[in-house]
Amino acid sequence: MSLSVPVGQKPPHRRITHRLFLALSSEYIWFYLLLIPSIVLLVCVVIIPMVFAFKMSLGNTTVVTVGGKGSIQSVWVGLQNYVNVLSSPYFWQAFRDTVYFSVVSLLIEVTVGVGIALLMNQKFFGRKVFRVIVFIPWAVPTVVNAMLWGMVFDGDNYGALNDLLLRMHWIQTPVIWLNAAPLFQGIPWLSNFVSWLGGSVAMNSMIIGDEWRTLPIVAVLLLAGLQTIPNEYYEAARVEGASAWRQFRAITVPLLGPILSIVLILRTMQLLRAFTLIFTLQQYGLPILSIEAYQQAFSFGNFGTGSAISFLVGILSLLIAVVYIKRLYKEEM
Amino acid sequence: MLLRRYSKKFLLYASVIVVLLWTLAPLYFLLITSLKQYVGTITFPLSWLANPFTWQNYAVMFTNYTQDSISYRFLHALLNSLIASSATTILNLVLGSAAAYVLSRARMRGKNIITMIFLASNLLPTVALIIPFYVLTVTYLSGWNLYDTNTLLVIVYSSFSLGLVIWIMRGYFDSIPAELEEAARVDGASRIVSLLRIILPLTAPGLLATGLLTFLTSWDNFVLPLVLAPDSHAYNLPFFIYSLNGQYLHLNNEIAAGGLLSAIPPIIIVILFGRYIVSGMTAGAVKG
Repeated sequence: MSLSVPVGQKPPHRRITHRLFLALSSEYIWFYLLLIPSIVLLVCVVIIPMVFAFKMSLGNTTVVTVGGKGSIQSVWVGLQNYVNVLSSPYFWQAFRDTVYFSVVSLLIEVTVGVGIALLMNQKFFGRKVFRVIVFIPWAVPTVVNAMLWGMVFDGDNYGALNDLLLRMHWIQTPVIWLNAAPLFQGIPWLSNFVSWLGGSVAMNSMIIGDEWRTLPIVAVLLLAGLQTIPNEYYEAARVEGASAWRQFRAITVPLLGPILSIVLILRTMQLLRAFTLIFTLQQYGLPILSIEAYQQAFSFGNFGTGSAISFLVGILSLLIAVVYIKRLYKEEM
Repeated sequence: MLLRRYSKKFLLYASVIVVLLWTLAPLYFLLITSLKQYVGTITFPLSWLANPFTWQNYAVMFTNYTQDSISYRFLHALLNSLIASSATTILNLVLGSAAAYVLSRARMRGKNIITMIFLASNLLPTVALIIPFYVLTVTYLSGWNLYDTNTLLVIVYSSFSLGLVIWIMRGYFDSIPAELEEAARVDGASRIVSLLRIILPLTAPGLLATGLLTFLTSWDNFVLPLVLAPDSHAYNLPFFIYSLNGQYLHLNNEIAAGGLLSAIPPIIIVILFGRYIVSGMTAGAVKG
């Protein structure tokens, strides 16, 4: 009966051992040995937690802890948490707050950030030192930055900004910069609309404090982009008699475009995860999405709802990440 | 014509001065606040010099070392920050550059997909992960006693660095021609020797840039210690600064001193190595 095996075809088990032997003896074993630890780490710190967060978001999850040890209880409710979150006005206010925070920050970065990058690219006395100094705020830890702007925006008359404005008689009484008061209070409909969008005095102060720390990295990355533009282009344009504005529009903007868009996508994702500054100065006063998720889980104990919100934020940033990665691969070709 | 040239120069230097003021005024304010006595921080008009002057805010961070004194907490936070950030840097550089090397060199199906998954993992927001990190640590893994330890922080910090390290380092490995390695191997060097002796020295700028980036992000991390190490052991400098902000009393002068001390290492890194960090970022995360 064994004769029925066709000549020239190895039995299956021999093929497998043969391949195993090849794999072990070749250099490929080194490849796997070098790659596997990173994959294990990725699975442990990203994939398992994400799956677990999704599982928690499908139930009324509570966690009871004593001294770092606890127990979890989860009652299956299906997608109810998502329904609750998506039909809650608080969630949508937090969503608009987050969008306001991101859009205004990005507008500042496109205008002022590009401006500072262009400035750093000019020739002037002390340019090297200037480039180093401009970069420094990015190194200041976020919490320190938050504390610093908390002192600047202090609502008493000894807050740094209030002190300056009072001395110059620009204001008569101290302004509470970190108060979530509406803007444009003189014009009711505009004021209501801007509050609906998420704008408030405190939000604008937060944006300024955040930009102090992030404009430097935007400007420095854009400067690196500017330096890749060959000087000959500008020389040729000058020979042709193009004005500075024309040179900016016809050479700088199109050639800076790709790196600008990548920096902006990266910043959008950072803004989605912005937490430290607002949490440090406002606690729960300005509920952007990350604050909302944190508060649901850690101060209300609704781990299911908190997970649902953070899962939604995760999906949102993964969508933006896909745009970013596509852009990167396009740049490569 | 002459007037136009001078007005252009004037405009240039005026903008330089405006940007310098915007950058340095807050830092100057932090510095003078850290050198004031408390009363100097709550009087109007505010003194814009360190007045009344004292070194005391810095001195309390280093003297009077007893259980739960301010210097005790500061020095522990400093030590924890140094340990956790350095360990994260080393772990991520070793694992990340090994993986990046494979993803650059191996003829393997799906290696682009793997690289992209690593990069995407790095782009996830912190908030999407802190809740499961916390719950997993205190419930299913509570037998491992990881809560409030540097070990836990190092492992979870990696979720925010590993993808970036792999992405940037893969770019550096890709830029080194494979022929260089093959030449070494023809001369009898094994793959590991050629990696260590030939390839790694060539990627040194990339290693420096990614290492410093990892160090800076770990040094800056506040959310993870807030959730995972808030009690007494593994809290880091940002958490220490945050906890100085008392409920009833804002000792701005002490906060400023602690804040400046914790900002010194990253500021030195950025002044000395800023150029490498930027070239690493533009070579990897921001192709330019």
